[in-house]
Amino acid sequence: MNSHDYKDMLQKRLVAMVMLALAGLIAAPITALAQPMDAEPGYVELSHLSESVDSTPVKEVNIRGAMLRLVRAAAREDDPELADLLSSVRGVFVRAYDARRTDVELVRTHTKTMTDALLSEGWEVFLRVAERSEEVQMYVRIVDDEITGLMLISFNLLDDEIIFVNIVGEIDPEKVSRLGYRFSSND
Amino acid sequence: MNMHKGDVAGSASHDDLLVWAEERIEQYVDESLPGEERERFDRLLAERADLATEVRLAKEIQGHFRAMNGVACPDTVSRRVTREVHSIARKEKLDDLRGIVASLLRSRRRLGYIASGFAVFCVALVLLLVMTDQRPAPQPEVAQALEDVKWTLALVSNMGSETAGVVRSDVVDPLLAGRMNRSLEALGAGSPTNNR
Repeated sequence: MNSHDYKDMLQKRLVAMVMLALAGLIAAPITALAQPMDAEPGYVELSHLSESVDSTPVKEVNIRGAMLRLVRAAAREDDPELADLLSSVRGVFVRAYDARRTDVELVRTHTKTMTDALLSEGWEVFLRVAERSEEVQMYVRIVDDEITGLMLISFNLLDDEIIFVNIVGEIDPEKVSRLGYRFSSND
Repeated sequence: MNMHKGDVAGSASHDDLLVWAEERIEQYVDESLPGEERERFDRLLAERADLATEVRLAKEIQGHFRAMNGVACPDTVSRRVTREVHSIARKEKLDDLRGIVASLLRSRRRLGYIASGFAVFCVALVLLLVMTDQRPAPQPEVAQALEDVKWTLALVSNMGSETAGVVRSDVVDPLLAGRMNRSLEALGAGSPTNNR
């Protein structure tokens, strides 16, 4: 190969490398940001819950993506422990209904369907309590010995509350308990 | 220079042939020319007396070098030579790169590729900055979201503590007790009593 051919080959390789690098630069952030929440193993679809139980929630929380990053940044300023917990959380979802304005039996039926689906997908029962006026079920999704999702379902007919909570991400139950106790004490 | 098969003194000019041959005198004398080129060189050698003279001179020089006793090269000289060789190699690579860049800039099509690539890079950079923009949303929304998170954690913690008596140990054990055991084992392994 003479020097002219060599230079030509180098030119082509240089152009190809630049194009590849640019392609990677575009693909990487788009791929990372485009990862859907429903691909997370600890995610439970709650967006159709209100329609299914034919009730309007009195409290609805959907915190993920950019909002979660902002919350994390806000927490970092005055509560580093909370920020640390949130660093491994991917989403927080809540639906709370007033039992007086909701068909409770319809909700129970839908809940049974939901929990059967959770168990079939590999979720495990963390706790289950059924008393006369209060039922609490908590499920966890465990992957590689780490909790990747938590699902809480509470029927509290004394307070007329029906609550669904899904926390997605790597959850440390000790931290949740400690922080939650602190926050409930501050109320 | 590209040589064509067949008659050496074919379409190429005599000067070009001589330049081609002069570039290969050392290889010819070292007998390291490939077969076809050696044959062409031999034919040219038979036709050109000036080339034959140069080849004879090159062979004489080679003979004298081989006849010399080995001389140890002083370290300072070999180091200096090595440095010079590296410096020349670096300069040549730099010149090659400059040549490539100049060639890229001369070629309109390649300039187009570079311009397109740069435009794509700028777009990707803007998208990246926009999507990861950490400027806060309106403060009340973030504050409310933070309060919602705290409320949720308090709820989960309360539910857990109120119903702690019925938590399934087969689920809790590997997550909580297992971690505690591992921590205790690590502490026990590092204690002086265990290191005797």
